[in-house]
Amino acid sequence: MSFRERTAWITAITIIVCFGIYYGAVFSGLVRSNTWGSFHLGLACIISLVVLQLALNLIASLLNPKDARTPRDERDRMIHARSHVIGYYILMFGVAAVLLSTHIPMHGDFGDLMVNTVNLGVLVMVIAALSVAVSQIIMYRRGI
Amino acid sequence: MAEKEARKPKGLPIANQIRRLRFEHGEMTQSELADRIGMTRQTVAAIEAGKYSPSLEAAFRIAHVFGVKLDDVFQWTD
Repeated sequence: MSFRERTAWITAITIIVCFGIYYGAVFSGLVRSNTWGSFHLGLACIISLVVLQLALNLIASLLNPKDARTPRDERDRMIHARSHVIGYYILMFGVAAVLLSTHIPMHGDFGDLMVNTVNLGVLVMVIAALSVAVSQIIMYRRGI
Repeated sequence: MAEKEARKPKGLPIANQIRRLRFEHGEMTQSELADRIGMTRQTVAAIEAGKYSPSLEAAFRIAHVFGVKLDDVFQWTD
């Protein structure tokens, strides 16, 4: 497995774990959206994501320093570009969906509605980032 | 014989002789070839396995390393 593919795996797994915990807690009702508990959990998940990605990428580069130092070649650049096009379209579609969702009449506390919209917006970004990493893994595995 | 040994990608109508050429050139490793053409070993493996079509420049570099013409390395097999 190449260093680039390994970093894509690290990105995908850390996103699934960290944001899985956050959205799992929010959507299951363990943590109420419009509370400091939810904010702190979100913050902890984002910090964990950054720390985990830094640590795992550092370990990956220490395990294979030659691969890590090698600059991206044409295949890496093509995979990088194509995966970001996929991520871009998912992001655009998601943003449009979130904007449309704000026009759906809902009852409830304004603060809850605001936080839910922000949560949906962040979820769209998370899905877009995950789709970039997953499409990179697929392209490295199956070929382009 | 060479045609039979050619590695033909599943989805691409291009076969290549890189594996044979590597062994004919002192059992050159994928890593050595990768270093000489400025690519990663994984990309050379992907080209050899037919999972990636290299750019024209990379194809010429590969042919240059083996001292052969481009169509001695890659063949259109439509």
